[in-house]
Amino acid sequence: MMSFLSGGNLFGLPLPEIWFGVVFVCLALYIALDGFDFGVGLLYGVADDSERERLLGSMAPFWDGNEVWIIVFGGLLFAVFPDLYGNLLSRYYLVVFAVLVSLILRGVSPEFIEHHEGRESFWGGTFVLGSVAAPFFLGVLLGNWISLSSSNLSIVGIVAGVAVVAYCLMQGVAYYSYRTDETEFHLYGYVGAGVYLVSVLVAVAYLELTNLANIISGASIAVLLLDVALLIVALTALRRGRRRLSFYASTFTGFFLVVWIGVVLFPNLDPVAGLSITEGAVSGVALNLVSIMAVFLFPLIAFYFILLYSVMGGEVEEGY
Amino acid sequence: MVDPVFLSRLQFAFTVLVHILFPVVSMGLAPFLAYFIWKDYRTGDEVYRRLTDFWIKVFAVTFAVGTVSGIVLEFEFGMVFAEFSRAMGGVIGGPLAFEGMMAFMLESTFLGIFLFGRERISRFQHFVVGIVVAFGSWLSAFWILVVNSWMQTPRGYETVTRAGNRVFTVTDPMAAYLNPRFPWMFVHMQSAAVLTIALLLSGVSAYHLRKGYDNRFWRTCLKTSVVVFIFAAPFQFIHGDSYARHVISTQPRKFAAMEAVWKTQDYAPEYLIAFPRHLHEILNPRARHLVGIRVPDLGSILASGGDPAATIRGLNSFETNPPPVALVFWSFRLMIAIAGWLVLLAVWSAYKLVKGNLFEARRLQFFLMLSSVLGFVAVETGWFVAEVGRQPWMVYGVMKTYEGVSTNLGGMEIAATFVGFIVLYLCLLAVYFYVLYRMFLGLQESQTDGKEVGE
Repeated sequence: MMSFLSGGNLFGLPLPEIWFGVVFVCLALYIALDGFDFGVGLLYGVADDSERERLLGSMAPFWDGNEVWIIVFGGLLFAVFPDLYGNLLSRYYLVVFAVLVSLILRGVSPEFIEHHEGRESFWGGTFVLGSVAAPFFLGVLLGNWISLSSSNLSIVGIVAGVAVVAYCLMQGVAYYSYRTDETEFHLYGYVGAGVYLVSVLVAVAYLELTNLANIISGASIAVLLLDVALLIVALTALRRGRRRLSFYASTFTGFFLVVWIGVVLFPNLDPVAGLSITEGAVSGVALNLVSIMAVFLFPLIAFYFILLYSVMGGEVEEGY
Repeated sequence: MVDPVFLSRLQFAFTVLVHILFPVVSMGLAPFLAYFIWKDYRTGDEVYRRLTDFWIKVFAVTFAVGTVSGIVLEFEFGMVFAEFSRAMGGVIGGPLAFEGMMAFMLESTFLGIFLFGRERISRFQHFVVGIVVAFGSWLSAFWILVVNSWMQTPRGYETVTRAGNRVFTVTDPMAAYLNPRFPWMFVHMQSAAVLTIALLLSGVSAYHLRKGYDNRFWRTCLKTSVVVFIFAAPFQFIHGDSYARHVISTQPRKFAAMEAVWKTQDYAPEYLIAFPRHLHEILNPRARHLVGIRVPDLGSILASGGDPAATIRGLNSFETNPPPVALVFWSFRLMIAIAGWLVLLAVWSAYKLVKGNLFEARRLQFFLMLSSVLGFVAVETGWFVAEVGRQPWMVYGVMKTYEGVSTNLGGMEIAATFVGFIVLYLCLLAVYFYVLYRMFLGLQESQTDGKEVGE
């Protein structure tokens, strides 16, 4: 009955390469979407009390859905590239542990701020801590991955961690400004963008000088230039009060940062283990089945998100 | 130096045992919420609106804590069981990905709309969204139990070579996903969740009635949950009995551990309780010489569904090392004891319900209140039976647990994260219960403010 699934790749498609792209798109969506939640968490740390409830309200309906993108990224990595899944998570064990702890803190703190009376400042602190640490350690993980680090900490890892946190700050400002028309956080947005730009350039220079990754290729340079251009658009638009454009440009800045990592890695999957995309992918029924499911499920997921954002978007109400 | 294999297992067991509490709450609450939402929509009776509003808040906090503690489990496969992940990704990676794509995506986006969008969509749309959220929590269980049941009764796979390693890949998804264990496990788990929450709601409602919060909110909550409880408790008992016979035919070794049967025997007695015969073995979970209270022939009768001469295969007849038998044996007995008590309680509740004095039955309410968390205990002990009982196999008959752990990790690294998880999860649990407690206090305040009057 399912015989069409066995044998070679469906329709002779280069499925492993397509899947490499798809898992990176999932990760890129995660960084961009949860990026604004993390950014809101960062702003929560510097906002005064009157603004805090509104900050939480701006992300409340969305963060859980956004977070599912990392679950889907992990699940698809497990399903399509199990070797990479096992390698990355066990090699950078302590970094992954730190990511998980941070995500727990970030996720439960808003619930406890709302319901644990008298302890709002403690849970506010854990919320900010989680919102800083989660993107930082995710950045460390990505930096380690492309710089062939065999230990939990590497220079590129730390620089990439800083870059992702800085990105989240900018993204949070762009998002909050878009949803509320507030301008008071714009300075943080500029700071975030500046730190982001510097740390990305440092990471690129380091990778190039140490010859760790294949930076100088047409695709890599094109994506990097696009990323910087988007960053500039996001900042200019933010300054001129074109809030929607600023948020979209900022979203794609984070998206293409992750895409760039994929471009640099290609056609390797796990350079430390000397594993290529085609070697590391599952085959036969396992690959074809997940591909068919994805063709049906991704449009559905897109529908859910469009529904969520169209119903819950718009100006943030006072309180929630 | 502590054994990394043992620590890996302990850490995974600990995180899964804490995590399972939250899905049980959300999956068990789901049908109740669906019912309240439906009644609210159909009748417009404000008590259902208030029941929905209150329990959806509990659901939301539980879902948030369940999501973040569930991400840990997903990534823990790769972290501490990297060899297992590499070997089995081609079979179980798919269902795990489908869980995220089908269930979590649906549940989390729709929950956002349900919680925050009441003013933004129509009543009918809000009703539909609520039903979808309830459905999503069950869909998630479907895929997770596909994975777990496959690890108990693996089917539909073959070995292939990938990147120089011998790994497993799915060949027949229908056979692999709908393996012999799956329907048993799914029904047992979902029924357990519903039963657990029915009991919890009954207990909480009983507590409030006894404390003098005698109003329509708690009366409706008690009646609804007791009706479900009356059906769920006997169902789970009868289903569990047949489930055990399914285990005999598919995992005889696990059944032998559940019953602490070492020597293959017919006319096997049923030990109600048993202890090591020799005092120096009292702490040895694999002690072979046992004394205890036994009912002659009952073991064989239960195992076969009526035949006292039926043969039960003993642990000695298997080549692999037995699991820690005492843990499996006692977990099984505790679960059965709870199940038996719940059936009695269900009969008693049915009697009071039919007589029409459920709300005045103080003694019954007292015992419902005392028993309110027993469902959770039964869930945890059930997982001990299922997971400890299959050791040393990780995938039954295919891969042993020690073969699945990450090879690059030392005992210290795992010990450090294990301590971290223990501290974090215990804090999480403490705060979770505190938050629920505050929610109940808030509800009680609103009810004593005179906003509600008893009938």
